[in-house]
Formats: sequence, C-alpha cells, structure tokens
Amino acid sequence: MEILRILITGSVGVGKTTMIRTISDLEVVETEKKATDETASIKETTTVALDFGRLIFAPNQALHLYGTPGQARFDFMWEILFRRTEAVILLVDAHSPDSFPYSLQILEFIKNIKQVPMLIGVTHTDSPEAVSLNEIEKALGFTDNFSIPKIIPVNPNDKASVTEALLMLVEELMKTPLEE
Amino acid sequence: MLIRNIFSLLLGAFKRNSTSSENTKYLPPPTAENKSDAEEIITEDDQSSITIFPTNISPTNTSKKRTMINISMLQDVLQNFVTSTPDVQGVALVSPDGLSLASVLPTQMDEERTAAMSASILSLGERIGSELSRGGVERIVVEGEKGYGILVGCGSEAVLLVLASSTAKQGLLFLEIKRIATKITELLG
Repeated sequence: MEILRILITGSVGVGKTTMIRTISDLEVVETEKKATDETASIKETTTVALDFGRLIFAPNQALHLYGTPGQARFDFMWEILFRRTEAVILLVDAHSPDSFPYSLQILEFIKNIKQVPMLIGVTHTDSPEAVSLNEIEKALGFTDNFSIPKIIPVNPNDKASVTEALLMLVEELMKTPLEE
Repeated sequence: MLIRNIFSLLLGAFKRNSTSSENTKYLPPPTAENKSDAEEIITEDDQSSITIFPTNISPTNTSKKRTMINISMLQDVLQNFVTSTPDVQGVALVSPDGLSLASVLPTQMDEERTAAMSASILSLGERIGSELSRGGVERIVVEGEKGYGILVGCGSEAVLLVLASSTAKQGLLFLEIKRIATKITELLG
C-alpha cells in the first residue's frame, strides 16, 4: 500500500479539521479542546495538537491527512507534522483578509524547510465579503507566474469539493520527480 | 512515532532561550466588539501586576469573574509549591487550549510555548488513553535524562505542568502533585 502524507494547514477557523472530517474513511483522530481566547468568538472548539484522517484513494494508494492547529503558539506542531509530509494544502479564508499575513507566515515557514508540491485552497468563497482568488494570490506574494501553486476554491464541508482539491494535489505530487 | 517526536520536541523546547523573563499574565484585551459589553475592569496591583479584562466569552460571567479574581491566589499557590517542594523546578497552569493561566518557570523557558506544548501533549495522551482503552488519564510523565515533566488535569478547565529534577522520588512527587492539583481545582471553582 503506497501512502502519501498530506499536510493541511492554515489560519484559525479556515476549515482544516472540517475538511479532514468530511473526507476521512476512518473516524478522525482529533485533539479538540474548548477555545478560551479570541478563537472562541468564531467557534467553540479548536485543535490543540493535530487531526489525523485517512482516505483510500485507489486499491493500493492511501492518503494520510494531517491537520495542524491554527494558532501561532502551536507552530512547533507545524514543524513536527511537516517533516514527514510530501505535499501541503494551505487553506486560506477568503472572508478574513486579516489572516492573510498569517497565511504568508506559514508559507515562508514551509519554504524554509523544504520545497513540496502545494495547493492553495480558498474557503468561505460563498461569503458576501469574500476576496477574489486573484487578490489572494497577490496577498500571498505570488506575483510572477513562475512556480505559483494552483489555487482553487474549496468547501471543506462538501465531499466532492474536498476530493477535487486532493486529486489536484496528488496530480501535482505525481508530476514531481522523487527527491531524496 | 508521532508521539515520540512530540515528546522530544517538548524536551528540546525546555532548553530554549526565552525572550521575556517577566511573570506578567494577560488575558486577551477587549476587541472593538466586546468593549461595549465589558462589565468592569479588574486591576490587581500586586507583585505579579496582572491586569484583567473580562470578555464576553465565558460560560457565565460570574464564574469567569471568580476565576479571574483567583489568579493572583493561584500565582501564590504555585510559587509556594515551587519554593517549598524539594526537587520541583517549575510549574505552569495552562488552559486546555494551550494558554498560560499562571506560572513559575525558570527564566530561560518560553512560557507561551510551554503552555501550548502542555496542551498538545495532554490531548494526545488522552487520545491514547481512550483509543487504547487505558481509561481516564491520571497523569502524563515525560521522563528525560535531566528531569521530569509531569502533566495532570485540574478539573476540566486547567492543566498543571510540573518540572522536577531527576533526583525527585516519583512516589512522593506524584503525591505532592495530586495535593496541589486538588487545591488548584478548588480555587478554580
């Protein structure tokens, strides 16, 4: 069984845990705790260590999905989880421009450790205040066309949407020659 | 394998230098939205210099007020514990989502990261406890070459981390920790 490890990261409340819950075959291993800081104004619970889910993609292919906590105080978890993953989905919240610098921070963090296939998944695109994909690209510093990761809208609650995003990322992963 | 990585990172972080050595604790300041809802601002001017702003997040505002008023008492309890218990090098009281409530830690330790890591470890330990049918978690012990890191729950609202030297006698230490955890749980109401 070939296992592809995917990291799902992004700012607080963007939909990482939700996305993994939506798509996982197995019951997701979650580490949710009641939120007591500013997070509590957007949701009741928050991930404090990691989410783990699995999706059997093909008879011999499984995706292992690792979700990080969103808050900066857990950034040690990004490093731990990222070490063994082969591709990343960075979720960006279209209706929270305040979170863009934070998403940029995560991007920089990832770039500094290793280059991996990446997909930018934009959530909350149905919100009236949603920022366009183009503007998000600019905000994340992808101004020149060379090596811009693919960017698509994702609904973390919708299985079809999540599957589409994962498929796209796996395609990218298959294109990359193996580095060791 | 993941658990082992997390443990080793926790131990590594304990050696890291901290940017701030002050022992000041703040709850998040009022945002534009909840400022108008603020009932009152409680300022405690003791040696810990704690300024506390109530938010509208609490389950009931009265229990939140009680918790806030007790933070300086908690700080004292923790300080006494470190001073009077042999082999204990530091202690931190943390919310289950990784925010520091009160702490007495060696100056080179980063309070914020220590708090976050404690929450992470406890949540993973609890998952192990339930998924591997170990029952409720009494304590989590990280036993390093140079000392112990022990985590226990204090009711449902707080986690206590105790740092002890390697010369500590486990049995006695665990007993002391149990005692202080009970006291803290009472104070938290």
